Amino acid sequence: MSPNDWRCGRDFVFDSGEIAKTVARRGLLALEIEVDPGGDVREIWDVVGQAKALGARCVSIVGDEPMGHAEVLDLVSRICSLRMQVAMFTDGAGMSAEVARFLLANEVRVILRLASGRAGLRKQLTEPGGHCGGLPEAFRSLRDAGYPARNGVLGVSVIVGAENYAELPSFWRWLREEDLEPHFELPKAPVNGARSWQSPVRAHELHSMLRVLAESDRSFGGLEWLPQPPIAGSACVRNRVSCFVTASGSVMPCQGVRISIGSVREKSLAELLRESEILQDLRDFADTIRGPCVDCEQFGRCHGCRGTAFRLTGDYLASDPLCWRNADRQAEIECLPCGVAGVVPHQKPMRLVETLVSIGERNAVVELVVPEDGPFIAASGVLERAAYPEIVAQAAAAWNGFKSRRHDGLPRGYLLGIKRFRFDGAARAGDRLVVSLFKVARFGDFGIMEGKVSKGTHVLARGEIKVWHENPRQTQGRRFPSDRESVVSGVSAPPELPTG
Amino acid sequence: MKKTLSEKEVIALTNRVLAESFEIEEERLLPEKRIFADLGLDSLDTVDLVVALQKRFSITIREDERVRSIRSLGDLYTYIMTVQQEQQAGTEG
Ligand code: SF4
Repeated sequence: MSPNDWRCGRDFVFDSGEIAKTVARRGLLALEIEVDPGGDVREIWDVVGQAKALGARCVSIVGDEPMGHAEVLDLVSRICSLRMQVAMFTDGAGMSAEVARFLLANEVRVILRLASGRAGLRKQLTEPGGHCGGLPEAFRSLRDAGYPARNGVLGVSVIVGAENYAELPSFWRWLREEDLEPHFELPKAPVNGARSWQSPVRAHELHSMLRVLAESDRSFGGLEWLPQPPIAGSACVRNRVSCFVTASGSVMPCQGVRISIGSVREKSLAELLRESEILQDLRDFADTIRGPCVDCEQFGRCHGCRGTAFRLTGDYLASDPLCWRNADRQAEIECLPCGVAGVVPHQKPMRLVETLVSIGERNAVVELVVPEDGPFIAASGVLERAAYPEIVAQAAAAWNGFKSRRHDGLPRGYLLGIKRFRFDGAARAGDRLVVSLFKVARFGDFGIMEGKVSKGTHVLARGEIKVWHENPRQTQGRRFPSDRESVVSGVSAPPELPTG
Repeated sequence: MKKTLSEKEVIALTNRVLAESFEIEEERLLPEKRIFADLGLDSLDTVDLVVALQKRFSITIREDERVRSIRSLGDLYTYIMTVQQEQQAGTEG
């Protein structure tokens, strides 16, 4: 067997030229869509059509159990009629012999998901009557139908955990021998798991396991790949060429970066992709990611798992905290919420804002406690009205300063004007205030922001500011991905060994 | 699918944006007029103009080479015509 016969996620192969073109035109090469049992098939169909118009040629059908949707097979055949490839992620529900034959006839890649947090991986797949629902029956139906075949990839997805860690190398080897495609993914941190979450498998253990798997492939099939997060044998390119649409119509960068950039029920997919700053940041990752990843020799081929970074730090552009190469540099990976001293040029007592809480799609939240005294506090202890536009401007500076952390020095910024400010009520020393910012528009280094300052649920002031913020992004030293990148289920690429 | 506006409609709507946002008399809004030198806008007005045009035409305007080369009102009409067609067809860039 030659190395090229392996199906290590090499089915959907995109070269770097088409990836670059897709990034430039804010298009798609792949779509991940969540199909829930009650999902509106017309909406799904419409989204797939829009994705096709944007250049997508692969659709990954995901969800709790997409096979539970009554019209899922009709959907599959319609997607295939658009000459798009389909990958189905399933726990095996309803996988009769007839369904398996239908999927093979449509060249659908089927990825069977093993239960996470449970040992006995091979048993889960092959021994009926256990705790694994219909998985063994589904596996048998698929094999009886002719899977795996050249036109019918059969994959098995496993979340690496403490329970299955020891058996992963032998299971991987067995999958290879059976011509099944392994999808070993690193554990996903819970949302809002910042600082407190510990991976069930430590970074160095993940590294040694990936090294064993890579060595297994090298010795068994001559397939060379370099261990790097987040998928064994592949590098993730989701955030450059794909997006994820939830069952309720929200569009997100991927299943890991769960920040909505808008809804397909309100705007077209083309508009959402075109307008999203988060997607643009992720697509320009070589210029935007912060922290130790930037110094890594793999940076450019790899940008770590954006989902893990977001879940653990609250920042979708942070370095991947679970990568073993970053194990000794955790202190350099900043988490949200974070203090803004050093992020904004203002010093106390002029600086009023204190904490950058979160960053979303064209929005951010900043907090402060009204000080006891200072230039903005009246003799009565009340915060002067003139302070509110200043607070909004400082919050905007904190947001821009945090995003520019990768670059030396603080970015310069000026408040150019304020508009439509309205006030309702007053804040006193000791009150905790929340500033919600929304970027109405950005043009070059100029921006218009809407700001709202609240105490509890009461909005004390709201209005618009016009700012000029320096954008210190540098293009020097930018490293680009390797010549060819491919997509596993529409979304990942095999990492390559360094050439020099 | 949004309707693609005709050249006449683009000109009328652009002129209305300039008249409403910057209080420029309609009779001065001629294609050959230079936006900065003749109509009196400055770089600080640019972002307001962009916001107003984006809203009025439901388009996204990014700072790129094409925008930087706009000098006259006629250039601006042509740019908006092109961008609305591209963005509706999803062929931007
Ligand atoms: S340090 Fe970052 S770029 Fe390097 S391998 Fe790890 S995740 Fe990838």
